[in-house]
Amino acid sequence: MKNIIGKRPLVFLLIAYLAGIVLGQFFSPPLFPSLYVILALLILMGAAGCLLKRPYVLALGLALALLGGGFMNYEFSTRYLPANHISRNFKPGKYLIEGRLTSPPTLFPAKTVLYVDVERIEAGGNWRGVTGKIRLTVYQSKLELKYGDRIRALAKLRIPTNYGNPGSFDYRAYLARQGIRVTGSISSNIHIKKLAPGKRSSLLAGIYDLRLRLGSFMELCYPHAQAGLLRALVLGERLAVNSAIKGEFIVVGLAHLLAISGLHVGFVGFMFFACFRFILRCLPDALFERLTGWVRPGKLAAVLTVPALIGYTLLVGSRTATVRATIMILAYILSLLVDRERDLYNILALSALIILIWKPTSLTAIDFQLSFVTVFFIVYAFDVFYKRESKQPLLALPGRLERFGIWLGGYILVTITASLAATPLTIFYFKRLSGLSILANLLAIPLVWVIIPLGLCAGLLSLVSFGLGELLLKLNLIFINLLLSLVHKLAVIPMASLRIPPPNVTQLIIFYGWLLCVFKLRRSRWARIGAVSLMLAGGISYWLSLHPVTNTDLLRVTFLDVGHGESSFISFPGGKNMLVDGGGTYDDGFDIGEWVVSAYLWSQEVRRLDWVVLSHPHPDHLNGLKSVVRNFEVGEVWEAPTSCSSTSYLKFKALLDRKKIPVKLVGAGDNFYPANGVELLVLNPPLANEPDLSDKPAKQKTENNRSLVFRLKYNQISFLFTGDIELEAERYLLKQPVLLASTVLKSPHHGSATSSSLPFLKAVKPQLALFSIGSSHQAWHPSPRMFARYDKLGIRILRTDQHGAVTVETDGYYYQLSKWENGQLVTR
Amino acid sequence: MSGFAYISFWLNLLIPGRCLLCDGQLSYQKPHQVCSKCWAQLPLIRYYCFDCGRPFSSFNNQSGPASHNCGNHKAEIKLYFRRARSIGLYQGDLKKLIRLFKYHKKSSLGSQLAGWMIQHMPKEFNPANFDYILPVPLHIKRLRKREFNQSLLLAKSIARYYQRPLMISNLYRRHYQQAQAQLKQRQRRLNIKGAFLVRQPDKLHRKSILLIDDVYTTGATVGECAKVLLRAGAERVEVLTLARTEEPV
Repeated sequence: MKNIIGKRPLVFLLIAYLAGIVLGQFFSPPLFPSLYVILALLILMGAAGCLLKRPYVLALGLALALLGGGFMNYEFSTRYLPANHISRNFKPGKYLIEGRLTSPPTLFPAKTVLYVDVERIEAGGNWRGVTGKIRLTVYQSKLELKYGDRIRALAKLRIPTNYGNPGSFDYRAYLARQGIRVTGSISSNIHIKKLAPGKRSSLLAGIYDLRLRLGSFMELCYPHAQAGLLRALVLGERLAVNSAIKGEFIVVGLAHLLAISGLHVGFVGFMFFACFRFILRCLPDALFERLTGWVRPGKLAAVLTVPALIGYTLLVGSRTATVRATIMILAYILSLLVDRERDLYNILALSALIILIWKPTSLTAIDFQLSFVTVFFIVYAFDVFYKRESKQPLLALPGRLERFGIWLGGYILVTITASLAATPLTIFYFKRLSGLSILANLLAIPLVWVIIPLGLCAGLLSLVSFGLGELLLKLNLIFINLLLSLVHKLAVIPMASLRIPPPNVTQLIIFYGWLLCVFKLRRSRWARIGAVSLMLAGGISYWLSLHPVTNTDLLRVTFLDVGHGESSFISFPGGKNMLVDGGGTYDDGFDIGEWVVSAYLWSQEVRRLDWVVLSHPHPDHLNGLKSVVRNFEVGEVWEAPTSCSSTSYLKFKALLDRKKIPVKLVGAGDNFYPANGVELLVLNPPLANEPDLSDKPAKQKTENNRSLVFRLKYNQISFLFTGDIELEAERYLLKQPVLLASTVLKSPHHGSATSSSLPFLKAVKPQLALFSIGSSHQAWHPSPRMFARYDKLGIRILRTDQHGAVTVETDGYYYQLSKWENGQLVTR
Repeated sequence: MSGFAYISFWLNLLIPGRCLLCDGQLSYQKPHQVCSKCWAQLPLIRYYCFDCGRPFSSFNNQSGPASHNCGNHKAEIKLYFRRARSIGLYQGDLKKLIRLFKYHKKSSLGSQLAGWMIQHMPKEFNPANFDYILPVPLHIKRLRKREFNQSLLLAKSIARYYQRPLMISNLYRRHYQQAQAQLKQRQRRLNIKGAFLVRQPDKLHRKSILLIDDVYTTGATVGECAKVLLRAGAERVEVLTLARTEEPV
């Protein structure tokens, strides 16, 4: 066993376990019992190895057992739900539920989010016992609830849904990783009633209470913005930071500071250690002498740090990065206690193993990947550059200056390595490159080094003496303001944030391989060869992805799933493209333009939009375009003449002005040829007589009826884009001497009853009708009466809420349909 | 596997041990930091002067009475203590180990080195015959810096093994001086003069004392300690050190 498991036994075991999880992701056999048998056999093998003292058998058995364990654990946590789990006991709708808060309420400006362990649900007059965790959104900001409270509430429950487009964030899986498979909303807090308190952990209750007290202490001593930042940095309340500051942190590549990570836990651990060591060193001579005979004071300080560190981890919430850091520090302390040379790879593997046993699905989570990749490379860099020094015992101890030099070198090495390692993943997930991230980190982290311990100390001190705590916190304000102004100054530098097309998975792997080689450039010839060849491979691969070789004869129209709203992407034969509308929410609360539309365009490796068309300036068509225009190079914007003056529209116009994007006003009768053989004829609105828009309800309707309508024709196949037109515009169109007949109709106004009149449908005679609608809870569309009209004419109906993004691909004579269902492309 | 070996097995899984000397793999059953092969190869003193403990490396080729009285130490300097013994030679791997122990805070090496001392204790020298076992003290300031007194850690294990009481903080250093290790022979003697004091002389009255230190170089430190102890009323003082340098010239 010595030789096989060898130097880093846990790395070996981790690899086996990881293989199991990956296997679980690729296939899921239908029979659980057979798996049990296999697992039992593997474990028996491991046990036999132990008894026989055959190292090879033991190692093989252990590896196989972990492989099977990883597989089983993954399968169980993703597929197995008990029969009384809430998600198996309801249909979407309103229910009375009873449950217990598993964490303190999360506060947002206009809403509160509760995580509730459900106990009972009322269906058809009788209560049923259920289990499972749900996420409840209460549209009210003031709630007198805390951790452990039991509540009864009237909630509208549903299964969370994803936006069904390639490239969209997998919200459903994200929630499932937290054990949430059902979400709910409560319209007002009159629907929540507090019940008799249930069982709760008094340790957790105490810690949450402490967090609340420290948070309110900080709010009391600081202006709101600074208090928010300090609360995020020290207490892990990242929602406390105001969005302007958060935006600046993201731009300069310091967003990781706002979410408590290993860095913070490390600082705090070190702070506790230094404090305890200082206290021990202050002991009177005789006592100190006695203590040293019993245990080395440094070791005792390390042991004392353990509970403090665990307490802090609980205080800031156990996220992947904090748990990883805590496990690593604990293992480090253990190695300190036994005076062993620690192998950091082994310790890293230990924390990965623990986290993946706890939550096997975190392997696919952004925070897990970022955290472990970054720390792996830091360990690797240290292994390469500091190996010689650490292996050979130094006979001459370094002087003070030399020690500082070593420390500074190490600090710069860590910062650069961490930035290099995190960058590709950040681009991959957030589509953003911070050109200044290394510089920003080098400058900001020393400040954070001061801010976090000082802030925490001040907070803890305030529990004893408010005045002293306040004094310390006021001192800390200097550093916080310094950090804020530093970030502010860096954020305005133009190269701070660059939008670049994200790499694909192959390119990511190539980059990390290259990084592995780069560190060893001076040590090994193979590393040099590897670095050069991988750089070439990566460069070529990236260049190819920027200049895709596509079939240039096809016209491809994709109707995106943007919930309630509309957005379509047209890719013309010859490579030019057009985006019609960008979706959007009414309150801009969730940025559809960024997370849905841009994400889709990036996933299609689009860099430039030749035309962006705004059918009419309503939020569900307009709001998403703002982020799109910000993120992409745009050739020209088309819109119908409008006298709209909503803030959202004015912001959009200002953005176009700032980016100097030309705007073309189009109207009925305009004719374009965007590509060879493709004709685009605008049918609505008539350019003459712009109506009066003073009256509010009529205004809404008029704006809808002034939507841009155009017919796109490619040889024998044609598409009719109708925006949100209603009866009036349909009547107008029918009166015009134009050909309306089309193969595909984008149904007007999300399928509302006042659109899609029978005469209009008869004139268009589509084979396919495409509805861009949100799931039923979001809006009043579509109307069943309207569907009946389509059915009568035998028109095939496709809906973005059921079929996801729908793509129609045509060579001008035939067309092919594909849908994006459950995260997979289905072509029919 | 016994309970202890079981714990040490899991510990080794978490923090696989590497031998501090040869970087080789350690046994999964022991929480040691040095492999058994390296322990066996540490330089032992086999032949030495019965009085001052000076090693005779020339007698290693076996002939005649191996250990004997060297006879020339009395003329040179007054030693005060009756006998001195050292277990190993301060060179090679043992020197490396002691430096790791003292300067790189590997304090758990203390009990392991003491165990090695006990294992190779000369037959005619029995620490159980003393009233007290007394480690050479560090100045409190140096102790606070280093966080442990290497002699105390050695003495503690030895005292526990031979079941003798440990005497700490009775003997103490008056001045915070330069470390002896950085000085030449003559300077050492001057440097150490008057460095030690006794807090409670009555506890030493007519007692036999075993002084324990890590390295014996010129004997200046232990000699000075012995002088102070004898003046305070101790009846007999002998010295045991972990290692000794060969023939300081």
